[in-house]
Amino acid sequence: MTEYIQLAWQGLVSGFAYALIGLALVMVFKTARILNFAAGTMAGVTGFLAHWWAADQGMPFGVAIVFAMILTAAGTYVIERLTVRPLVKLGDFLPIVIMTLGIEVLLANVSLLWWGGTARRYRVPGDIDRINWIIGDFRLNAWHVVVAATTFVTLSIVGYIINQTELGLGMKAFAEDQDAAKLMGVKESTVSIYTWVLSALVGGVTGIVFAPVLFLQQDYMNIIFIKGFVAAILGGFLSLSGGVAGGLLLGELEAFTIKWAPREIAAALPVVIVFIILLIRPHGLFTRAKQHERV
Amino acid sequence: MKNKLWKLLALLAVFGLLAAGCGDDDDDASSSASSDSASASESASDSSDSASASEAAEEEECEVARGVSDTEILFGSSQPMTGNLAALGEAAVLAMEVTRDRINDGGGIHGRNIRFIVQDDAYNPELTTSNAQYFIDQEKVFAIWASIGSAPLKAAIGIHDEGNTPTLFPWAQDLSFYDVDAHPLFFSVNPSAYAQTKGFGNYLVENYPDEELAVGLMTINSVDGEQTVDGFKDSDGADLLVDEQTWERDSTTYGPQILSFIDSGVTDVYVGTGDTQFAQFLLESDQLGLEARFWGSTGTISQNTIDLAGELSEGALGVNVISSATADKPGINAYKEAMLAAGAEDAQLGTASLLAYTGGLVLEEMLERTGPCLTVENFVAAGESIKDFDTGGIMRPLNFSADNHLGNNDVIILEVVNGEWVELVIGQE
Repeated sequence: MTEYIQLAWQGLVSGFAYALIGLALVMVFKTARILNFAAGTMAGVTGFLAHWWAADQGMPFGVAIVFAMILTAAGTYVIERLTVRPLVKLGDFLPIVIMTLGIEVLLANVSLLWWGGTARRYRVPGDIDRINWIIGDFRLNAWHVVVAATTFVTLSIVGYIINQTELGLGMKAFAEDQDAAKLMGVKESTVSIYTWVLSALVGGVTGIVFAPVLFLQQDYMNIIFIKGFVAAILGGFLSLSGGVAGGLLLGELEAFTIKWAPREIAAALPVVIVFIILLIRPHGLFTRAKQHERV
Repeated sequence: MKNKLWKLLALLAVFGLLAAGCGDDDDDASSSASSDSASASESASDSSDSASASEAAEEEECEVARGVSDTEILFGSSQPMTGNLAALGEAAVLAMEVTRDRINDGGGIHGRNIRFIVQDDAYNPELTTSNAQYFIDQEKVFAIWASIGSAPLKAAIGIHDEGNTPTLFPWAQDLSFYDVDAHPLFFSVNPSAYAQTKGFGNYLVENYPDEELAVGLMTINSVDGEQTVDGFKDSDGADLLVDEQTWERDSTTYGPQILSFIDSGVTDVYVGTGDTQFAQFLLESDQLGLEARFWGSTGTISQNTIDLAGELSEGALGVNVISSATADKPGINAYKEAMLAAGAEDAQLGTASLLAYTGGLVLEEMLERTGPCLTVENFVAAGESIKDFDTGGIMRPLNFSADNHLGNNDVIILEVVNGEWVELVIGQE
């Protein structure tokens, strides 16, 4: 039994990463109808910045994270205003997608130039990523607990913003019907910028908490991005909770199939399962077909 | 109207310039051949010696290979400069630069400097294929040098062969590459993944006769991984294999595989990965409580493994095709000195750069032996003539022949002791 619990926990930890990135992607898509292909790299840059300030510039760990998050927010603001917004005004979907791909390439190359291609260890205070607790036969890594807690807190904050604030109301209004939202006086550009920044901060948190797990290296968040993308599709791409649930489901699928499926197909099996789910429910597990039609 | 006319003229001028530029490129080979013959006839008339006259005549007849001019030999190299193997690509390119500078600073080879162009393939075979086409069709290189990865090279080697372009000293281990009949222009100093696990299996049986061993193999889900498993199954330790697991390039965790190894009760795990993944594997094994000896393949033998895994790397073992970059040997010391002078970080002193550097030593020897008439045929013949080539202890002396373009087929066993890779056995078969 412990083996199942251990495996489920391992899957959950991976799933947290997919869920957070899935959430970040859905957030922007739901309100602005934009697929942000730079989300993974932006998250990775936040991780690198936090590491750089702490390890190379000697800042305290927590302060370095705050600085990285502030810079991420500011950078995202600039990106949205200078590159995305002008294209949104043109009203064409494709150039925006290409623009986000361009931002991804640019950020990836800048980070490669700045930090090089060699992987680095992201050191956390007290090296708690190397501490393991043993509870019976179950083993619990201390940093994985931090990952779980951070995920929970992040989801709670996002949930609060969306459900309890004016901004969240605006986001929901835009997600439902953009024209009606505009007629009601919701400012599109304001909703858009806050959504982008919030999405980048969620991605940034993911980049930081998963840096000790995956090691910091150029593109280290791209794999998470791809899985987060699958998670968002699995959730229907229009449901925030669907994106999160899709991520957690994908993490579990990976863990259990790799453990028990024949080795030749183990790695491909989660993708096949997702494929079958989408054949049965093309609009994803957590959205209705009508929602997709409206989009 | 006037405006349009100006635009048309400007357009024509641009096309004219482009055409002139292309014309220059196309003329490269012929101009080099004619200047070859011009210098050859001059030297013939200056000398009364009939032997030198006949040499000059030979030179005059020589039509050098594509990518070779009077002053330069051009190479292409497809490397993972982005993606999770970018560190290896960067390190290999630095070693190539070191080789280039050593040769060029020494006056070149037969009057020719070497130059190379790097194209990023992010370890993506599709990109490697398009890079190969670009190198051969657009850049007109002489050879492809020191690329990384079996899967990418497997996709591209057919294009190299068709384009009569030698494939030189890649870090790629697919068994099919070593078939001289299939790939007569392929030269390597890197034993196959198959040879590595065969050496590993033999070493286990020879060195732990009193222990009850159970081996787990963790290999990439590709043809490389299959050959890794086949190598072990053909070793003396074949019966010890109790668990086989695979990993994907997009894996974010090895937890499920590690739990399977715990279930299987393995005493030894062989992990065929790069250094970052091996460090992650060690970290997760510690998290999940896998108690075993950990063996890494060639890609794991680097300072980076030790830096990333820290104390967890202590006691880890490695099966390498080449000496440790930290060993104290003349060849390794020269390599380290050159790499550090070129600005290498400690983490870049590893298998990727050392293999590229060693390949560079052999390449230099091949070019020297070929002589001034650098054709692909002469170059291959020169390579096949190399015997007992001393690398200063980086590898056992290298031997090539018409039937064997792989200079080295033995592996080296290493262990991390006090934060350094230390060699236990050199030349394990």
